[in-house]
Amino acid sequence: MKNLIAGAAAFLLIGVWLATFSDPVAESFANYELDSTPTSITAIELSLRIVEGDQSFLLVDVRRADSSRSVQIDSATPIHYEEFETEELVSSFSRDKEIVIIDENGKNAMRISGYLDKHGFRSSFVKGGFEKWETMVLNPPRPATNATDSEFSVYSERIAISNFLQGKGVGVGVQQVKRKKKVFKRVIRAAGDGGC
Amino acid sequence: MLAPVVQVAEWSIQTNYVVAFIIGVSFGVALEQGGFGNSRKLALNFYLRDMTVVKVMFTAVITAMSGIIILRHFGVLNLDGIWINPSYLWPGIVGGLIMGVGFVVGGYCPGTSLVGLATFKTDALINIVGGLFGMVIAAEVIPHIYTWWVSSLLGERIRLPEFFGISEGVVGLLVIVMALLVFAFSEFVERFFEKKDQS
Repeated sequence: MKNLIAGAAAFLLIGVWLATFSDPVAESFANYELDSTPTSITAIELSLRIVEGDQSFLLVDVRRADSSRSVQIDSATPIHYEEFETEELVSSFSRDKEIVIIDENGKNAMRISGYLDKHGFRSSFVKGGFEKWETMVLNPPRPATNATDSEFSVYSERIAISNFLQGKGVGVGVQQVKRKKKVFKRVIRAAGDGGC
Repeated sequence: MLAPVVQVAEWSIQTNYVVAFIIGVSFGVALEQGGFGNSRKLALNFYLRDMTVVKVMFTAVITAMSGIIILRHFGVLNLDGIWINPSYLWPGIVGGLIMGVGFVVGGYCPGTSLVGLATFKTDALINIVGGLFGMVIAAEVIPHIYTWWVSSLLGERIRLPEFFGISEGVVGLLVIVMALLVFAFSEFVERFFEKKDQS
C-alpha cells in the first residue's frame, strides 16, 4: 500500500511539473500560426480551371499518401504537407505560377497556403478540400424538380465536368437531366357560370 | 534534436525493422512475465476482479506521455517524427466496440494473443486465426462503406492540447490525475469483489 501511495505521489509531482511547461514553438503546419486568412477558391472554381486547361497554376495535393486517397486529381502533384518545411522543396517552386493547395478538408491546406504567401509565393487553398471535391464536383447535388431552367442547365454542366474529370468523356454518358413537365389543366367554364 | 533516433541517425529500413523486432520481443517478454499471456487473467479485468490490465495500460500511457512532454520541452524529441493516427470519430467508436467485444469473448487483444502464442496457448492461436479472419472480412466490407469509413474526420493529426485549446503540460497533469483516479477505483473494486467472493 505504501508503495502505491509513493508511486501515485511521484506521478502527481511529475504532473504538476509538466503543467508549468510552456508549449514548444510550432514545429510544423499542424500548429503553424497564420497571420491572416489566405486566399481560397472553391472546389467548383478549381474544376472549371482544370477543364478550361488553365496553365497558370500548380495544383498540389498535400494529403498523407496512405490516408483516404480513393479520390485523386490527375493533374495534382502529391507532396505531403510536412515536406513543406524543407527549404529546398519550397525554393524549387516557380514564383510565376499560382500554387493551389488541396488536402482532405482545407485545414492543412490553409496553413500551407499562408506559409507560402509569407515566403513570397502566390498561393491559394481549396475550401473544404477533397470533401467538397467529392460532394460538389464529382457528385454534384441534383436540383429539386421545381428548380429553374438555369439551375438545371448548371447541373448538366457540372455533370459534364464530373464525367470529364473522371475520364468518362464529356459527350458520352452525360446524364440527361429531365424535368417534369408542368401540367396546366385548362378549366373550361360552362357558359353562364359568369364570375366576378 | 536527438529523437526519434531512426530519423536523426537516418537508419535504413532494414535497421529499423531489426530494432523494432528487438523492442517488440522485449515488450512481449515483459507482458508475458506480467501474466498478460493468460486469457483468464485478462478477461477478469472485464468482471472487475483483476484490474492489472487497466493499471498497466494507464501506467504505460502516463509514463510515455510524461517522457514525450519532458523530452520535447528540452528540445530532445521532434514530435513531428512520431506518427499519430488520423482521428475518424464514428468509425473509431465502432471499431473500438468491435475490438472490445472480441477482447471480452476471446480473452486477448491482438498483442497479448501473440504473447499467449509464444507459450503455445491454444486459445491464443484461435484468437489470432479469428483476428486474421476478421481482417479478411474488413477488407471485403470496407470498400462498400468507404464513404462512412472516412467520415467524421476530426483531424489528420489532432491532439488533446489543440482539441481543448490548453497547454500540453496541463493536459499531461489532467491525464495523470485521471489515471490516479482510475488506479484508486481499480483498487477499490478489486477489494470489494474479493470480500464479496470470499463471503
